[in-house]
Amino acid sequence: MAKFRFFSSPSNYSPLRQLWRLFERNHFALVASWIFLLFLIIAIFSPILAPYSPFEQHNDALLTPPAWDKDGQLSYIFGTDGLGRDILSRVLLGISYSFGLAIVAVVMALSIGLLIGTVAGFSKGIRSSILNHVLDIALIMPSLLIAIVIVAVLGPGIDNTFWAVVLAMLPQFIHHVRTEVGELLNKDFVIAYRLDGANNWQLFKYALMPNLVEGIVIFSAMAISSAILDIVVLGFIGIGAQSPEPELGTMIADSLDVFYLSPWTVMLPGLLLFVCILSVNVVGDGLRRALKERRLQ
Amino acid sequence: MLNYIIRKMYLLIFVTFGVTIFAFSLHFLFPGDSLVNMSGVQNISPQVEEELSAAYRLDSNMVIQYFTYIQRLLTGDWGVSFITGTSIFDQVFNVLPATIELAMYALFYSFVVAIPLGILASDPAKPWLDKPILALSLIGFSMPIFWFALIMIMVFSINLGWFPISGRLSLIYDVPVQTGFLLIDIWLSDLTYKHEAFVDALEHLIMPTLVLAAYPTTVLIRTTRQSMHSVLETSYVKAAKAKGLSNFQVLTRHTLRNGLLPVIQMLGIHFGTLITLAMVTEVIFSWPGIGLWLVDAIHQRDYPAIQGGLMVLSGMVFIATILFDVLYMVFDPLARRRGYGKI
Repeated sequence: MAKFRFFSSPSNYSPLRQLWRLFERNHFALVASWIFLLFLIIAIFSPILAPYSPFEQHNDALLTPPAWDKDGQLSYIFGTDGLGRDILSRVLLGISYSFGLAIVAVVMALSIGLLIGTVAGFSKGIRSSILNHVLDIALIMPSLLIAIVIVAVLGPGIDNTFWAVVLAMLPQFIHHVRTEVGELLNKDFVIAYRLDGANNWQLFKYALMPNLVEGIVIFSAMAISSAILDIVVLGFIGIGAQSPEPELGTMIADSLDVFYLSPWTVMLPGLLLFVCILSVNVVGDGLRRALKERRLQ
Repeated sequence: MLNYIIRKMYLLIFVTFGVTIFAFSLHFLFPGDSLVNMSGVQNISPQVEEELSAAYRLDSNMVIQYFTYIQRLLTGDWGVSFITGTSIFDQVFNVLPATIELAMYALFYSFVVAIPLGILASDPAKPWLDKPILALSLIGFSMPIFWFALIMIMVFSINLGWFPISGRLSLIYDVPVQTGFLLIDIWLSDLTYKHEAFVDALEHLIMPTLVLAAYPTTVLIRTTRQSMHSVLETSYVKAAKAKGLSNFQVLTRHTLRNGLLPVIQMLGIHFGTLITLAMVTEVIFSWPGIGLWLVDAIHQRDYPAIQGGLMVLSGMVFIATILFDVLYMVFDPLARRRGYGKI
């Protein structure tokens, strides 16, 4: 709904800056974004932060409870699992596997998607129609199912999981970029650029890109949460990362045998995973709401 | 309308073509001999090889091989499993009903829970309800499904002992298979322990259904809330209120019908995710559906089984999505006028 404004004060900040200002007002989302940054730091520096090697087995301390339990030891803050591996170290590395890899996958899918999507957005006629149909097919399939298909063909393993997740997300990115580009190309200011003699590259750089960025940021935030879930679920059902690797889903699946005996081996990685996904979702939600508000202004 | 259905049929044909081409190419993409992957027969003797090559027209070009493959698909000759040596076709359609059953109950449950919650969240008279319901749905959305399932198992199966941990029916009951849908099968059967078996099946059903329903419930709450919000702002609702209808009358006569339309669309979009999540749920609860079967096949590198399973799954998702889309068009005349249907 258009609101009547007594004083008209056009804001001259860039779209991304305006988005951030509106985003900051939502405190929940702001806190979530700090948590997100914290996870990002952990994901990058986890090999330095981890007190032990994630594969090292402490045979004298099997299934030690977490440090806050009365039987716990301070040297293993999150306790140890059935093979005596330190859960804190495994969880820290697990974040870089599940969360860090998901972000890399999203960035990868984003760059390829941006390239193909923009080219597709510029194209017309039969080429665009063929792409339309192929995208139609790929978009119906949920990304997890595509990932399962790709892993089934390539075989299990963390590297195949990564490519599967990238490929599974790619159609959504292409579709998103293509529709946005298609819409923008019909706008007057783009046509004005064209009339000024801008070629396609200049058009992309100066007219399209600044307007695409915020949509892409929001879309990527949603994509990260689904990428994490895909990686973790593949790991959990045993066709993603394989057993000794400290991937969070694989860890949870590994500890299922001792789950009833020592629930922390499953609960702690799961809790971290949950906080991780929740922070990504809250950030994405906050960004989306900020965008909606900005469009109303 | 007719135009739209024709366009959807066209898409359906295109999709079927794509899926079968993909399944056909898997013969060559999978490691190992393509003839072994096609037939599922390992250690082929020269004589059998000759017979199979003739049957699959391996001497002709790819196009003819592809159409021979389609013919085999239609006659139900999908090859045999590497592991058990039984027909893939029979196996797939034995396990498929269990998955559909689980997904349907979860969907039904999420309808019953999510739509009232969504309506409550959109109620302008109770703004304090909105945030908690939204927060709940965000939490449900972020919960990894297997972790949620494990928590449920720990609380309700191990600590409280209310529900069984895994499986579809206790082993002491033997129910003859007629439709593949367990509850219907028990209903149709004339066993002496019919009642006990029914209760047992329900007990097994509760936890997987709740776990699987978490995702569609959160999505439905958000969809319902958003569409109710937009409907409540329209002029016809204001007109109805100005006429003096009570809130309940406005809800039942005007807003609900229009507000629930996007829900149909949402179902179509999220049906695939629901089936995928059902597969994960099956793995956790050892529910004998197609998900568990397919994951086992992937572990054992049973290529004919993987191929058959993937084809059925993706085919089912495609057809359901297109059907939901047509259904949406049938119910919403305005969407029809918008013309080009996007998926």
